[in-house]
Amino acid sequence: MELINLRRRKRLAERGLALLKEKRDALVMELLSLAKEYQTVMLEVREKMENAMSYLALAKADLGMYKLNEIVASLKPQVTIDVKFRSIMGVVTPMFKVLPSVDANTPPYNLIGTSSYLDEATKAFRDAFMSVIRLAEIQAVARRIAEEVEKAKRRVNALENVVIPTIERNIKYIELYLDERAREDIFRLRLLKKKRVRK
Amino acid sequence: MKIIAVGSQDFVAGLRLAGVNEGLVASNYQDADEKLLVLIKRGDVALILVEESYALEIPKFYDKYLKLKQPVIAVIPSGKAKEGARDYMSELIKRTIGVEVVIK
Repeated sequence: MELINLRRRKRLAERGLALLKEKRDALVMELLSLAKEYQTVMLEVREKMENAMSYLALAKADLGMYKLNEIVASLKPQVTIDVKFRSIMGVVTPMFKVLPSVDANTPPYNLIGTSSYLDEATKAFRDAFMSVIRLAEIQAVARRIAEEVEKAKRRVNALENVVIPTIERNIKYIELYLDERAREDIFRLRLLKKKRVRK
Repeated sequence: MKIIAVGSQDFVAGLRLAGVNEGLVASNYQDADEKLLVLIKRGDVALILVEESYALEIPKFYDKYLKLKQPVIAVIPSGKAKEGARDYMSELIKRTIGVEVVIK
């Protein structure tokens, strides 16, 4: 009875192991493709931010740091962010959606008393912003997936190296014991037969 | 929900111009660290953008901030990468897969 049970458990564990391995491999693939995208987006952000920073430096030179800080401090918020969750292979990952609340072509500050350099800088930063958000999203997703890969890896190892060998050992032990008993039975029967013949 | 930028004055000013809701100027990485600690306890923040140069300096940045589910904290560069600088992404991959993967 117990033997049948154990055999069933072993089959189940093996099936689970195959499934987990598949999941792990799929997640690793996902992670690698994300890493690839990360690199391109990262380069894009670096370039765009550097470009925008140079415009900002010009604006700073033109307006003066004090004035610029004043303008920046008085900016109205222009976007709100919406976080949605999406599931990749059972991993819940965040997805950002940026909702602009003002027209993208109007500057968020008063045109009086500001310079065209600031307009340029704003344009450049707005341009960079979408890539920045995408970069943030990729980072978040990659982290979650990496976490899940580690979890799957641990489970695979536990099944492969602990659970299945234990079950196998138990099965073997029971089989040995049953065989032993069968042999004893045969031997006993033979002995009885001999005794009967002798009589 | 809000997006908040934490970094140098220029970084924050730029992202503010792009539309980020709030910006916190940090004078050095310790300052940034303290500001982040406060920020992550606020409930209305969805995304925090941290300037790369600060993020790389803060000790235990990964365990402290990047493991959080909410809010999401992202490391954003403000210019070219420094030679030999650490990259959280490649470290992450190295740790999970066990080998360094060079993507071309």
